[in-house]
Amino acid sequence: MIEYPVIPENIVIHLGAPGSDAPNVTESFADYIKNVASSEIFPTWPREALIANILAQISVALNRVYTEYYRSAGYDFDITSSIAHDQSYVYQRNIFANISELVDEIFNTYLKRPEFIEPLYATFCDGVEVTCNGLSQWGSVELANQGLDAFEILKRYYGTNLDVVSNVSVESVEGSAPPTSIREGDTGRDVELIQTKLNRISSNYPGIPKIYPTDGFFGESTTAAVRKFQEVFNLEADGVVGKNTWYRIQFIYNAVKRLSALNSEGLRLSDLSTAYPAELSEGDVSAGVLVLQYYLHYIAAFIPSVLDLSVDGSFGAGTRESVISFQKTYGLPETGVVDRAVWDEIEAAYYSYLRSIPYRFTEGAPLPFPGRILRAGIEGDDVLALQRYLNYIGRTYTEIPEIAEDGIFGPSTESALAEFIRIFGIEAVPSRVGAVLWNAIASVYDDLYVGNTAEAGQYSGRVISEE
Amino acid sequence: MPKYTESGKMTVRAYTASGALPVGGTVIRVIGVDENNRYINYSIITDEDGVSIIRELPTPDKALSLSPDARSTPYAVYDVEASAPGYYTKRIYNVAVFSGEDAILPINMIPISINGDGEMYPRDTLDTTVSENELL
Repeated sequence: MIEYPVIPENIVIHLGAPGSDAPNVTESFADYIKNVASSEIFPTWPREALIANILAQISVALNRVYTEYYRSAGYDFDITSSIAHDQSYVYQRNIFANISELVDEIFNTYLKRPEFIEPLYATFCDGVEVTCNGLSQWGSVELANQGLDAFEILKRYYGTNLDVVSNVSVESVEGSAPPTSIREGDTGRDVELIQTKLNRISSNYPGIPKIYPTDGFFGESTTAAVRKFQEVFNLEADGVVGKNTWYRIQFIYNAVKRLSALNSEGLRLSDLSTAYPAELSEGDVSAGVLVLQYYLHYIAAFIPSVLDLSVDGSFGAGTRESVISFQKTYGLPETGVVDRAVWDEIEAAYYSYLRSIPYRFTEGAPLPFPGRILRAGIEGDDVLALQRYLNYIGRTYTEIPEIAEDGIFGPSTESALAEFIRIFGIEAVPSRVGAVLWNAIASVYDDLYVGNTAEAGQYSGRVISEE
Repeated sequence: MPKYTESGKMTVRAYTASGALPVGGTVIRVIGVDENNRYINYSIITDEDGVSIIRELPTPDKALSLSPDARSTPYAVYDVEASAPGYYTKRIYNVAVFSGEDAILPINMIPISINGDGEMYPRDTLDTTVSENELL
């Protein structure tokens, strides 16, 4: 069965010529294209010239991904930042608002020849210093000034046997953007989904106002939330959910959910021992490998130069590449093998990132054990979180006394812990919170929170009157 | 260096965890030099969504970017430094600002990681120098 090109969620870029010893970084596909366009052309150019160039850049990238050009040669990346081999990309550079908006509009569109499936490797060059058998960048400005649109410009350089494939599936997104924009006054499931996702995003981005109720009616509070979301994420702030806003909501929602899922996974894996198991290398299958992979998977969410991997307990090529990328990032010998020293570094990095998350962003998504024993006299964000979880649990299990949320482990916190231990029969003492007690508290909090929060679509019990 | 007769805008957005979390309260410093060697210097703090907007940054004439014959760099460059407690300070050099355009600078803030020996420094992730645009 033929597999057609899809837009990948992420693309891995080698920051140098293919054989060079340079890091690989992972970027979302749209952000990668914004970077390329901002490095290759000027944002002041006419719109049709920008679109033509961006389509060529998208096609080049998708060609490399779809044909597995580098991967099939044994490299662990999709494309390079070298202009001699691929197209320009400058890690962490600034992009331009108008280019960003255009890319958000057309990122799932590419060029191809009618008789082929693969995206066209759309060669281009500046057209003044260098000429080539493809798009001329300065030439495209000239043609746009003459009134040609993007497709006409592209046909001029690539010939008339050129197809534009649009509305391509995006790997990380279910479904595709609704065919028409969604705006104030609209109703339905599409609206409800947008409302639920924006509310979840607004838990992490507090400047975005909450939408109430999330009932599928696009009213003023929904418009306000959409507008603020657009402002924060550099889209035209018109309060209307067009294609570009719709996709950006999906992407940010995915990032927010990914972090929650990482934390929940940590809770679920809490039964496993986190002690250094033994030297781990390719071929091993064990609980120790699972913990290692979970740590690297967490770290990869924070560090673009650490390669992401599957958390499946089996140390394969992907795990080895991820270990090497960690070693490269932290200046360790790139062995691909996890001995005690490497394990300790990986674990230290994991706990550093876990502890960096402000606890106010974890409502409904409790964090796994933060890696230090909590006892009398200790102060911190983690103590604060524990107190919050206990108070929330205490609303249902009223024998647990309410305690001041001051971030200080004092006698009242210890009393609350004693009650929790008694009620739930945990093998622990209230004067010392280690992994077992922490994870028990977080699990009960999680269960209660999920149970207390109405799912999207459930009748909320509020009467909606007709006016 | 061309005269800086026009202006552009810069929008900075500090984030962490692949965009799942903003970093509010990040101090952003924007530093540049105009054609008369006068310093341009702005200091601003990101809001709760990690965003700061710096308006009216001096830039060269837009017309310089519309023709390949221009003899000088058609955009202004600024250095940006982002610092927040608990994160490594990030520096991005040569951020390009064009007349009438908004330069968006997403900044990936990396939490400080500490092992038994002290701080661990993730290589290649803290400083960036934006190279000249490929057309120049």
